Amino acid sequence: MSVSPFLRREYLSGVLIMLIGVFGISEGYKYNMGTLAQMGPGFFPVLISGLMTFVGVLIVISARLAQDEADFHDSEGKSSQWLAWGCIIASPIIFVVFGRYGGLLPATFGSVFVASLGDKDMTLKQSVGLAGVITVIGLSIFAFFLKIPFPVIRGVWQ
Amino acid sequence: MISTALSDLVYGFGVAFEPQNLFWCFVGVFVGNLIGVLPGLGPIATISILLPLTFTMKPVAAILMLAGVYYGAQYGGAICSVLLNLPCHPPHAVTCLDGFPMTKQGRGGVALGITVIGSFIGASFGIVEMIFLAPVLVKVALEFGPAEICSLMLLGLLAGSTLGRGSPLKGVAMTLLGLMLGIVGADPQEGTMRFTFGSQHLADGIEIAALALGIFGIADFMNSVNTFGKVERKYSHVRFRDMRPSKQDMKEAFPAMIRGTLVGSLCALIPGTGPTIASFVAYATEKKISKNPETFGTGNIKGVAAPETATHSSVQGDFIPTMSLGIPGDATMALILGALIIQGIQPGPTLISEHPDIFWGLIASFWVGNILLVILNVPLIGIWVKLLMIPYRYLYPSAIFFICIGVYSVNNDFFQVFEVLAFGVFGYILLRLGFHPAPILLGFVLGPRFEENFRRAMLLSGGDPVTFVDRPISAFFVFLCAVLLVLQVFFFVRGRMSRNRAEFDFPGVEVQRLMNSGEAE
Repeated sequence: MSVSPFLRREYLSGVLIMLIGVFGISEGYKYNMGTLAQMGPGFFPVLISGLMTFVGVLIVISARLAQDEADFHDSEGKSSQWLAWGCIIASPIIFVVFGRYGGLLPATFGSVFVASLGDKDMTLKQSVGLAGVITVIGLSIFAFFLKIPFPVIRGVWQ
Repeated sequence: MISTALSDLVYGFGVAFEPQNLFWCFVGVFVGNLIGVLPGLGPIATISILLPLTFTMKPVAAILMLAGVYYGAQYGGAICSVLLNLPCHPPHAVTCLDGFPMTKQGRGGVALGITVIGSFIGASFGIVEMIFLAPVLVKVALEFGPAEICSLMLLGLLAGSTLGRGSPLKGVAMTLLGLMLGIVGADPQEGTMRFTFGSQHLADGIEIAALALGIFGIADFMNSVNTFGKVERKYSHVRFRDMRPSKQDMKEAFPAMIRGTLVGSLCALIPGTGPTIASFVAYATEKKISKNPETFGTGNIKGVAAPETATHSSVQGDFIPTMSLGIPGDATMALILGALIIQGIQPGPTLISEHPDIFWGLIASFWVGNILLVILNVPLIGIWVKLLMIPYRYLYPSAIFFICIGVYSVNNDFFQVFEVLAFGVFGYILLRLGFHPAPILLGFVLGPRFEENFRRAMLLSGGDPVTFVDRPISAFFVFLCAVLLVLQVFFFVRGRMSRNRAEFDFPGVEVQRLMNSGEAE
């Protein structure tokens, strides 16, 4: 049986919420539940997770009942942007790695540069330019004005 | 009552005019206006980027600034909608419908002029509403015990998740997810570590800035990257002298502004209905009562005046439940409440008496800020219009850097950066699955207090849940919750039955339809 994109999305949503709920219940049970009058740390998490599982089931059921696709268009027609997503995800990682071993200057330049590569209209020259400008602005705000504890270049320029 | 309110207000102006506070208020409205104009960066993301910077500031200055960003962004957002036809800020999406046609007719300046006038009227009314209503609410709320607080929060959470955009069920799921994320960390009463998975970094709970920047920053960039097509910029040359509306324009727009104000101030009071819904309801109302509804969508000035005024009166009114009851109406308010909590200030009915400088200073700063915004927007309109030219491809990489450095500076710890990234990716998955993640923040901020009061109420009643319907005020809130749920089921069944009939007789459906079309962006 083929499933419409709308139903597939709703099923996935419901199952995701159910899974989070079931996971929460199993974790919550590890803590002391207590009694209704003297609740332990486990009571509220299990309650919330239980409700969540229930809502997950409801999402699946209501999708089957309604099949109302009137409001379904937001994720359709949206092509996958693997390069852009990769660049956006890589940018904070670069920030941490460069920041940890290099300092604020390389971290700023690297993160802005990598993130900007994700846009299809961006030329290499523009990426370098943007990264340069933001590095200057970023350093002036955070290193010189706010003086946050983050060496500009580790070991060279504190 | 009026004289005490006036003397409190005078005191508030004293606070707001302290040079430091005045400066941060200006910074707030300026930054807000700026990001409102820039397509693609919303007030929630901006407030979360600025949040870590406020940790070292005095509480009053911090709140004035963050609030300024919020209402400042509304002034900027209108420019973006009217001149570029980009509904990048949800409350202004509906303004595009008539604002952009006006721009095409060469009346974009007039539309913006009307917007500024309407904004100021709406905001002023919202502020007056807050001055008189908040103390009354506080008087009632001071009598509340844990059971009442708990059921009031339940009402707030339920309204926040079901009245927003998208499927109500999915909204509830997001609220529950937020509550669950709020559990992470040490248990408030016994100190047991919950959901930390042995990580020391999570012992103090999830960082609110990291959560907000992940789901409203990174996730949103992943969603919008490479989707901005060529933007029509050939109409966006507006000068100061084009902004003056004629007498005829004012005669048409003024009644619409008054109606918009009323709609907005009502929406502000119903928990869960913020400026977005206010603007849509105002537009739908205006169209409904109009003698010639067919002119809407072709550049009717009322279609600009009403929703903009409603937005602003609702934006200011939004602060009423947040500041008086400690119940935020939407994600932005949740964030501002979070900023208060970080400053060590317990939100709730005691806030006005314990921290009058914050409450009355904030109100006075609204006036100051709105006047600053009028000054910023009328003579300087040319500068903002130039900013519209900044393309998204320059914006988001810079924003990612500011996000990284912002969360890093919370604890000078790289772990938060990974937290942002994790929430960003997770938030994007939720977006693709058709969830609207705003209620997460609502649940997250209210969660710990909700649990605390829930446990206390149950302790006081000896474990008997009847306590929530036994006490009249609490029972009233529970009743409203039940009404909300029943209404949702009713809408669902009705929608199912009339699926194949084009039946748009009833205003709620019209609003829903408008909102969905705005969502398509």
